[in-house]
Amino acid sequence: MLNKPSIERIINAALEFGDFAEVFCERNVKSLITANSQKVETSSTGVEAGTGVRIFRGLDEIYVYTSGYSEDKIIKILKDTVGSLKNDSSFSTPTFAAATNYNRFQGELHTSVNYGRKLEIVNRALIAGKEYSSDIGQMFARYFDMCQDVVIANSEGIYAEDKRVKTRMLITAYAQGKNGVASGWQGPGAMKGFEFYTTLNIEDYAKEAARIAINMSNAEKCRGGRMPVIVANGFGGLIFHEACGHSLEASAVAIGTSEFSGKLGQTVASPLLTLVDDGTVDGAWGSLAVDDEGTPTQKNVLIENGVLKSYMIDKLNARRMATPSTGSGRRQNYRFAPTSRMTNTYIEGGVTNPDEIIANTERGLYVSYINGGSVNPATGDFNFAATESFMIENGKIAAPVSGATLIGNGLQVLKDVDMVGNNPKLGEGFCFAGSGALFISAGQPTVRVSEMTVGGVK
Amino acid sequence: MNPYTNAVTKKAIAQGITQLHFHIEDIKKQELTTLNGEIEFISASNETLVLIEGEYNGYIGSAYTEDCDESTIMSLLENIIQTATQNKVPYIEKSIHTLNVPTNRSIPFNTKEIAEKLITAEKTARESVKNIEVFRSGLVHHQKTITLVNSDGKSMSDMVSYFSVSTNIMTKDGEQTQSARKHMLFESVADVDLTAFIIKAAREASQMLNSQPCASGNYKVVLQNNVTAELFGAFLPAFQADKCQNKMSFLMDKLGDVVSSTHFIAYEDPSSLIHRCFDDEGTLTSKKALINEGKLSNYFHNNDTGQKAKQQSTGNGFRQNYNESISSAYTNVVIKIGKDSLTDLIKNTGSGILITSCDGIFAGVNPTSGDFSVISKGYMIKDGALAEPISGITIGGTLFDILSATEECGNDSITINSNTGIVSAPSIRLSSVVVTGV
Repeated sequence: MLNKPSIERIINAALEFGDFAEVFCERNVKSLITANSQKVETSSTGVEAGTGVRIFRGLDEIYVYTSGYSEDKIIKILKDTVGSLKNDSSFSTPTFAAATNYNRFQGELHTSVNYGRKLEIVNRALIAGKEYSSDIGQMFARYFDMCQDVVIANSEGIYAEDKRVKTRMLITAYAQGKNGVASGWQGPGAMKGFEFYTTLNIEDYAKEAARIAINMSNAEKCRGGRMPVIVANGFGGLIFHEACGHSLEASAVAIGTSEFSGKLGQTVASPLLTLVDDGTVDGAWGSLAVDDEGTPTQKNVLIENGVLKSYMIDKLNARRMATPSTGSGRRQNYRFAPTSRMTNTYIEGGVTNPDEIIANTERGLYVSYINGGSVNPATGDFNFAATESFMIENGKIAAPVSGATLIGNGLQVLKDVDMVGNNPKLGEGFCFAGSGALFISAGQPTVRVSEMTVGGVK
Repeated sequence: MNPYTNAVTKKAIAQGITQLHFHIEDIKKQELTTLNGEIEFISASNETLVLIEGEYNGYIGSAYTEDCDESTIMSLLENIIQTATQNKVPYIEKSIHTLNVPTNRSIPFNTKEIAEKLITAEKTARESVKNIEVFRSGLVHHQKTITLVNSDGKSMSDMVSYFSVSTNIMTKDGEQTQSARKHMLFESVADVDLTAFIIKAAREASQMLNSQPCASGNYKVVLQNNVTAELFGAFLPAFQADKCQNKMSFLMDKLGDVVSSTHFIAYEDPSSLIHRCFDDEGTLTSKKALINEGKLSNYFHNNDTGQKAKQQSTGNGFRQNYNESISSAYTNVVIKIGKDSLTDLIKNTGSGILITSCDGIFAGVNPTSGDFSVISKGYMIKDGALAEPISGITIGGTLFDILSATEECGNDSITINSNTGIVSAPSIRLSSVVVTGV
């Protein structure tokens, strides 16, 4: 990686074109294994390595990056790109602090684990899923690990170093049933070393993926309409990630393209709801000690008992909003300028037993697992697709239905939450937005929305 | 790259690794974004990404790097040995033709000129469209040179180069907020009317103010070109032969079956914006039908899936990312245009709905089962003309429903990104679609 004198020279060169300069340098040793029941499809091991330089000119942003670690190359790209935008007056050379090292990792580094041990975990999942039932046509596993070393330095004197160690196993089962081909998935992950796999039973996850696939391949297609919706605990919390999480990111709030702009202190949700984004959760998939701008992460209470308390703020939008960063500046890798993004975002647990929530719903949709979704932060209109869902009839879970999509408006759904369970849980996934694909957790207890539009396929 | 590939080859042979094959991507990207009439973001990059494959004891192993420093070579070779030893995938010889398409084309990206074009387009839009609150537009030039090299020194290379423009406009009227997000791809800035593209998006954002959901039911529907492209593009993984052979696609065992009305014709053309003379396995590419005369005509095959199906590769052996193994994928997929303009399609609909945008495609489209259900916006069509705007609805069904319900294709093709490739599609009229509203 680039050394400190080199990074300091790049920052000084960048300050010829703006009033703030930052260097992000990373070396990320990654392994990816994808395999089906017959063979290893992808076996990708190697190094992601590169350098990004960011400049602020007031509220304008300049970002250049290159693979590798060449001081001369990055400065040349910078000058070729913005050479005509040289500052009228010069900024004084900053004083760089001693490096702050945020690395507290004590587990088993993935880089020290033989490839064969990783492949064994993959094979255990594939075998367990296939053996679950003869109706499973195919099992697919995607094992991923990374050891990302980063240096983040800026003209304010920050010089941060960290090592991010993560791993995740995505297991997908495919089944052919009476209503066609369907899939089910499970994706446990953590900010942990290879010891993560000694604490979980990978076979149980594979069997659950297989059960979902078989269930959905035999399910009738969902008929759409307006109805109460209960979303189970865990990664179902993605509903709030979409419904209001993105709209609470400063990238939307600061320029007025969020429905939550200017509403701090106002009641925006049911008093049953407290929404948190917390990058410090120990070992969680969405955690990181320091964000990608060199600011330590923190627990941000966004909505407390229905009242809007805070936004998620990065450095550039902190300028726009004249408020400090909340440690929310994130990026996928050196190819992206950071912006405000979520980490581990969850609804805190309530008091109601989840069985009571179902028993109190005469007819509606129960979503046990969700797939993914998206939101338009300007309008708050969001959608997400169910991986597995069931109709609720007479207060009981009834027949499974496939192809259900939930749509709604963030502000409206927040107000329409009328029951919150006492079983909070986090789930793991990815979020795709402006600064790339990020590892995030989403979580919640079982939650009921009094009425939503369920999009069907018949 | 020669000094680096030579150094790797020399050290690899000393470790017992032979038959080296390099996949090298040189990527340049330039970008400019404007926000509310001013430059907001300027970016440029230059990357060199290298994947190395080699034979070790009869098996193939691989490793990749973005740091072409000779000090890292030994750890890469260790990765090759470990993956070869553990995966036990037999090495199969890769063919490299000597084929070098000129890759020294230089596309000017004049920051000042592009900023002026975007800002002028915004100004024009603001003059003719009411209630605009936030206006963001961006233009990006993508350039990628792909080179395949083997340890004999043979190489083949090709270059992909195109622009993309995007615009995201928010409108507001009292408490009502709406927005429109559009993007399209093109070869040269001189070939497109950026102002017309941006004004169209601004009008849509403005006209959507005060929109309401319509009643649930089955409607005759026109999908605007961008919606056709996004929806069909999201189903394209189902055409991958590996997905079909592994029972992960609803299109398995359907080759030659009637799956569509004869009005819907789709093909892949590797000579368009994503210009690829050869795929990532070195197989020469060619134009091929996907859906023709109502029948499923082809899957995307690589060498491995072709061998299983007892046919040749279709030249679709591509890597999803440079550092992954060969899968099957596509370059440019085109839905054939018809004769009618969008106005004619609407006129001939009588009563129905025009869908102008969909969100959540990646989650709402299931390329395994063939189902889709996506949040949508558009207009009611009454007496062959656009009537009130509608939003907060979903359209749903299966890909087969769309294909078999296609009555007519328009002449208004648009090209957009889709998965790892791109899709060009016109507006289409469908005889019946399930709409969930109120």
